[in-house]
Amino acid sequence: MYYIRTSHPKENSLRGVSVIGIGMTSFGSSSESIISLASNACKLSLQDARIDQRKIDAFYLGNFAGESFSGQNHLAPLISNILGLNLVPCTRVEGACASGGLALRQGIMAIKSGEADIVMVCGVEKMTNVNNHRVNSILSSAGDTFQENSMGISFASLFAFITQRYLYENNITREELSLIPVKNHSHGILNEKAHIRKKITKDDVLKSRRISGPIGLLDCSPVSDGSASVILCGSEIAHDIHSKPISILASTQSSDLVSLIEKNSITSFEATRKAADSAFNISGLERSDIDLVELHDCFTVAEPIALEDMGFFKKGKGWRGALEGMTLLGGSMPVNTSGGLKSKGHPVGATGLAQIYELILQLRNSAGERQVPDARYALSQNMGGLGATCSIHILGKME
Amino acid sequence: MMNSKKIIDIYVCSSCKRFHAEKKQNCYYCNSLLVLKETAKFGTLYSFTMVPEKMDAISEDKMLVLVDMDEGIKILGELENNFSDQVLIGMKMEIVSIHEKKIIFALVNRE
Repeated sequence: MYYIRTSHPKENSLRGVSVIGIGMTSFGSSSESIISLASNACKLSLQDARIDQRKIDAFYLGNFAGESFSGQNHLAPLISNILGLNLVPCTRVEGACASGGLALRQGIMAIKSGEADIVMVCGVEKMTNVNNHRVNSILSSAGDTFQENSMGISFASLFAFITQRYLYENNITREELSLIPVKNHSHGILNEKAHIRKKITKDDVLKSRRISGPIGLLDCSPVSDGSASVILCGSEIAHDIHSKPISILASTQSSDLVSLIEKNSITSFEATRKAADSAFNISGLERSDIDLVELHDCFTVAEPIALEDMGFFKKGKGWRGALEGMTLLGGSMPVNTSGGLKSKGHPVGATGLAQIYELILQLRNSAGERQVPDARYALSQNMGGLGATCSIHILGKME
Repeated sequence: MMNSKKIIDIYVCSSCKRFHAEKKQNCYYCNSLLVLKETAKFGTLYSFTMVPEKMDAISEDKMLVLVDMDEGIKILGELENNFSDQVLIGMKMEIVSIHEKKIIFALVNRE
């Protein structure tokens, strides 16, 4: 027993929320079922928080397409049954690749509202048990199926349009962008849970098999299985449960047009801009306060666009981060120290929570070889579709 | 076959104004009536991608184009004959055919 549950009157509805437990499976190709992956990540987070599962007041699950990949719907209570979270509210949240980030935000709001004191949030996807054509078809359903997918266009092709336009607007070539996946792989090598722990070079990227010009294979995040989980609680009880709780300083979400053809610009995502501005307003922090970032590099070009949209670089200059070393480990603001989606892997529904897992390790000073020295504030950006959904979280060490 | 007219018929939702390439009674998005609209068939290439054979759901190399139409909407289509070496963003394009949901573009004055 680590705390005594109390009711929370309305005046406490804006209570702080902290992370007191994290768990994550290795990302890659797994023989485990989607239920097993999720329950294993959740068990690890319970162990980390050192609490009994019966203390959990609510469970939120981020999952994009369990029914399409694994033929299983109604996943949240099913996973809860395995964990023994009997009779608590269990809710699945879907927001394409941002499903994990959105689930986290729901968990945070449940605590802020006073509805729950301790919440478990999990993200999971099992993708490797269907063939590539089927994977592409399922992922494409995150776009506007009527306007875009009817021509058989994959998500890679939609990001190829974005990449081509980004190169044109900024008068650069693929060569300037190619150091982004190189950087992320150099980080992922240091992450024992990463899907692809392999050093790659600029030439490897440039010569990789063409997927949809100008995008090559090494511009694409891999198809992965995996799960990540966090345990949240009201900040007033966090120190009673864990010696190194991490505070959630902001949790924001925004949405934008889903269809590529309806966007005025395809090299900037309004949802990311709005969610980032809100997050910095709520947290009271400046961009320069952020020590590290985990962002949604589903395809290479997504990284510089996110850096620009969040205000870390001027418009059209985000690609300079990797080229000039600012976003490398050892740089002024390392980006994707976990390896990012590119190297760590991208089991869609798990990604938002895996980003938080990395940031918590860093803020606990437990990231080993990839530790960012003296990290105090960290930010995650989790994006769904072609920027149609975005959630941003800012985390900070508790005093 | 090249259409010598400078306009082309498309269907536009009477309510949400979304463009529909195929003839239908109602809008896919809001179910309002679609109306036939004569539209200038010219635009400017906004972006493009060359998709290799057997990628996506296609069986041969294709150049997909995203065209900013003079009417103010963007349209996704395929480039006729895949003139990949000659294609640059900013080039003038025209719709040469619409068949079911497939829209074929060509470069204007490419000769």
